[in-house]
Amino acid sequence: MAALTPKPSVEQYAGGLRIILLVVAAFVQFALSSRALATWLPHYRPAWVAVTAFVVIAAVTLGSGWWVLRLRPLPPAFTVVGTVAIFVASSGGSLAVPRDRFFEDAHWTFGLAGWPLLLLLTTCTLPTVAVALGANAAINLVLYVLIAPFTAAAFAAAGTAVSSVLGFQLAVAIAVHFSRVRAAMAAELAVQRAGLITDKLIAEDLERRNRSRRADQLGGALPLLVGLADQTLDVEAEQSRQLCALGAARLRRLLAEGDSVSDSLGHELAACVDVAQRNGLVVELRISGPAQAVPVEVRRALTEPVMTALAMAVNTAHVTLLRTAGTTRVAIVAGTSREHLTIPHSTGIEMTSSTEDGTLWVEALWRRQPND
Amino acid sequence: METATERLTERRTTAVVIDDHPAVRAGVQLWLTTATPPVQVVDSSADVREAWVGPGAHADVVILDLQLDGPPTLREVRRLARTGRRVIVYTMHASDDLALRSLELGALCYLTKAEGEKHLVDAVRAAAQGRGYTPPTMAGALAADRRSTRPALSAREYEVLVSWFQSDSKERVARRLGISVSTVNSHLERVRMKYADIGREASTKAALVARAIQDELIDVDQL
Repeated sequence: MAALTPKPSVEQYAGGLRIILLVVAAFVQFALSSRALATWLPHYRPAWVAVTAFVVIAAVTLGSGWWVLRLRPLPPAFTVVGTVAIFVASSGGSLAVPRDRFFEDAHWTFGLAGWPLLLLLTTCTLPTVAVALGANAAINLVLYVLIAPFTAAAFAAAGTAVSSVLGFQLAVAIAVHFSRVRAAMAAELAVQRAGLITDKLIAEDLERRNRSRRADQLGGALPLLVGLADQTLDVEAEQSRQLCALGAARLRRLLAEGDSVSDSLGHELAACVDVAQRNGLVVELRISGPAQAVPVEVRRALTEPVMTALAMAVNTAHVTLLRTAGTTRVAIVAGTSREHLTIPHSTGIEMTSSTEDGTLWVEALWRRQPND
Repeated sequence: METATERLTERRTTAVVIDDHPAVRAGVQLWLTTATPPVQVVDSSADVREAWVGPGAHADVVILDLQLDGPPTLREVRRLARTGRRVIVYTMHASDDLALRSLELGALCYLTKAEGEKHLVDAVRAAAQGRGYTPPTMAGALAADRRSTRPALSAREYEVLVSWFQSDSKERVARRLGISVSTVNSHLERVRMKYADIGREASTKAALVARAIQDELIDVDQL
């Protein structure tokens, strides 16, 4: 059953990707951006805005770690609030940067903001992530145009910085996206494969049980056939006729068990009655109560006494199936030439039988258990 | 003082047979006219109107097939029963649901065509006296009834229903349960009366409308 071992789900893959992005975001923040913040702290105007931006971004990153490290998806509300907080912190931090230091080492908020955004939006579509990263770049570019002194050389340098950061972060976003797509495909293939293996195991088990059942049923007929073949059974004796009738009914029931019908017990009972009718017995079958699922072993135990009685019946027989909420009763009332009959009993089936004035009355009762 | 029952026993019981199969009409007529004492079949037709006009209008008992050139319908059962006619539903459908609904609509018996001559003659005699008759198939339907509206039956009543359903012989039922045949009949009649008591109650107008739709007296489109 090793083949049925559960495969990692798409969400588990996403969890792994988030951990990687969390590590990257934390590294960029605490190893790179913190140093730039400390270096340029005296030059920010005002400095508290830069510090606040750093704290807000750090709070979002560390806050997401609460779910990421437990391989849990980020709550939608946290994702929305965190994304807005990142944009506000990034914009605020940019406003505090010295005018001539945009997109340089002092402007660490621009490079940093993209990583928490990637972390927050891991499971979003690629266009959504691209729009978020692009919006961060666009906001910073607008601020740059509005605040910083504009020269061709400075603008070219800013463009280079923006395209480098944005290009790298977009590349990571694309890699994450395709990794997720592949993971989803792999997970789907794994589910399909597990389903195929399960179907195969079920089919094998069903076939094994059918073979066993057929062997059981056919096994009962073999001594009869051997007896007829080696003439130890008298073909004209009434007992031989009854044994043949019973064997034929069992085989007919076995075939009926393989049919796909809504009322299996009624169908199998009708098959037993059909065999008896073909043997010249006048049989009336009555069924009351809605069809319900009855295990095959129970169905067999319920029909076996009827088959036995039908094989020994003479003239006419009434076979009934009555289903109530808690019970299933199969009964036969039939004429018989015998004074005593041996009716098979089965575990879990309540049997009553009597023979009086040439009439046999047999009832097999199954009480449905609450967990059946 | 002479009772209605005594008057009935003096004259021949009459019946009208409504069935779309001529062979069934002929068979039923033969069974009833050769019964002892015989039942007079005053009319037989595939048209239910024969139960309302002509000789059939005055027949003691209406033997009614549910399926007359169409799907089985209980509309005529209801119409006849509500005017006091004594109706025996005689059908090829061994359906628990149809049996219970027929009983609720006022039919005195629901008899399947597989159940034979004796049950039909007994049902006609009982109906002529205004009494119901519970044949084995109907007993099965009553025993298997799981509806929340079903009346409470005693354990003995249930045993009698099940045994009657299984055996088709009241003598055998009586022997098996250690009671007399008349006690078997009493239990069956009591069960039938319990069903008749709950049959036509409809506590609200909505319940009445729901029942009318169920009985196919009106369509949803007509509301």
